[in-house]
Amino acid sequence: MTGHRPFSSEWAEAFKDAIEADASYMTAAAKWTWPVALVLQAAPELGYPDSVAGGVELSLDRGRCHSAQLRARDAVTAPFILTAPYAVWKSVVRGELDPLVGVTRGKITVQGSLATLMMHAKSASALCACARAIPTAFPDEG
Amino acid sequence: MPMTAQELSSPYYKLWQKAKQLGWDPMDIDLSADKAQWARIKAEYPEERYAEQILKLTSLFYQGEESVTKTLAPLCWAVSHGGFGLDKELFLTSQLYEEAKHFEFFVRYFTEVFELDGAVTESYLAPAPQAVLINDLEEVTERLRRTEDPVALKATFAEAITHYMGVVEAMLARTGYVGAHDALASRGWLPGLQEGFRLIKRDEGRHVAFGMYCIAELTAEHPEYRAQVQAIFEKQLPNVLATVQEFDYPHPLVDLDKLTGYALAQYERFSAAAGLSGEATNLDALTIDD
Repeated sequence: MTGHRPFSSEWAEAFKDAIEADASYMTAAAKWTWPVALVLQAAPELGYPDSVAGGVELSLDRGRCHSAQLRARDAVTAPFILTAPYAVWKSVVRGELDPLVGVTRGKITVQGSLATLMMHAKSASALCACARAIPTAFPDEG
Repeated sequence: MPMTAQELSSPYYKLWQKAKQLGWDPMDIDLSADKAQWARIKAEYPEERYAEQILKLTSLFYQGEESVTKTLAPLCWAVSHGGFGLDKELFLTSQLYEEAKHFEFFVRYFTEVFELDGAVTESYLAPAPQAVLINDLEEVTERLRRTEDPVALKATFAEAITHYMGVVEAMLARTGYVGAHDALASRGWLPGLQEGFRLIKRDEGRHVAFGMYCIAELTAEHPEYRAQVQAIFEKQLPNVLATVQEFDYPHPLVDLDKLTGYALAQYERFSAAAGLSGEATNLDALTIDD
């Protein structure tokens, strides 16, 4: 098993690098100016108990990602917080589930302006597409 | 009051002309093949529950068309009372007539093909479609009807246009008609219902175009209205998405992802017309399915 454990500090940093390296994201997110937090629901059986930080907060601005920080779930402050269980994030990271489809199907919950998020649907999809470039070691595939 | 040269060359007046050219009568649609096919669909697909899905879909259209027929009159009144333009008044008279025809089509379909009383449609109304199609639309149009102050009238008119044309007609009705027509056409089912969907969708294209022209004009004149437009979409988007999810069956009749994508594309277009997205919108290039 090679790669970073999802929702770890290393994985978050690799996510930032992947976003910064992605020209498609830069184009798709030219008008996106808000931080976004991706939050993993607690999954103790996979090593993500409540006590482990489960939020990756991305400082995004017009196609750039200035930082990606791992935070406790209740410490994320981004105006857009997307929360889902492990299996859903895994599907998103693998490119099997578009995040907006996840939102519309109720698999991913959104805190923040749904209208704004949907207006920038291509930006959200491009952001999660960047995650595919991260070398990821999924703990349930150990 | 004579019509001005500007009104006679306006997009509203062109839509009115188009409405006159493209008239149709729900009574002219041949439903004979549908009757025979409906019996087969009910008998042959119990596991897929296609009959239930078709009934639920047409129930929402029945309820939706009844609701928009009942709630359009306050918009007509506001345009007249507020002096928003004879071109808009003319178009809305055609829309009122068309909404009544759409409702008539579904009344006829339930009676002649399903052989059911229209009251059955109420049983398919989950809370989300009930809110967006009926309760909240009634609330904003009733508020419009009671507004006398000219400044408040225009602002409330913008709200009503957004809910009526932007949410109900663009995101739900047109999306639903596209999805339902595709689902039936790909199976070769219910040709009369398909034809009704096609004609209604064509009418709705003009109604949505009217709403987009209106909201573009209103928000250009009053940029402060954009916050109201945004607030309505903020409130109704979850209801729209939940309404689409009503058709998430193990064997779905309609392509849900395509349907959701179409609804969101409609939202993007209307938001752009309202100046919310920062994207320039070429309203001259509006596709209205004519």
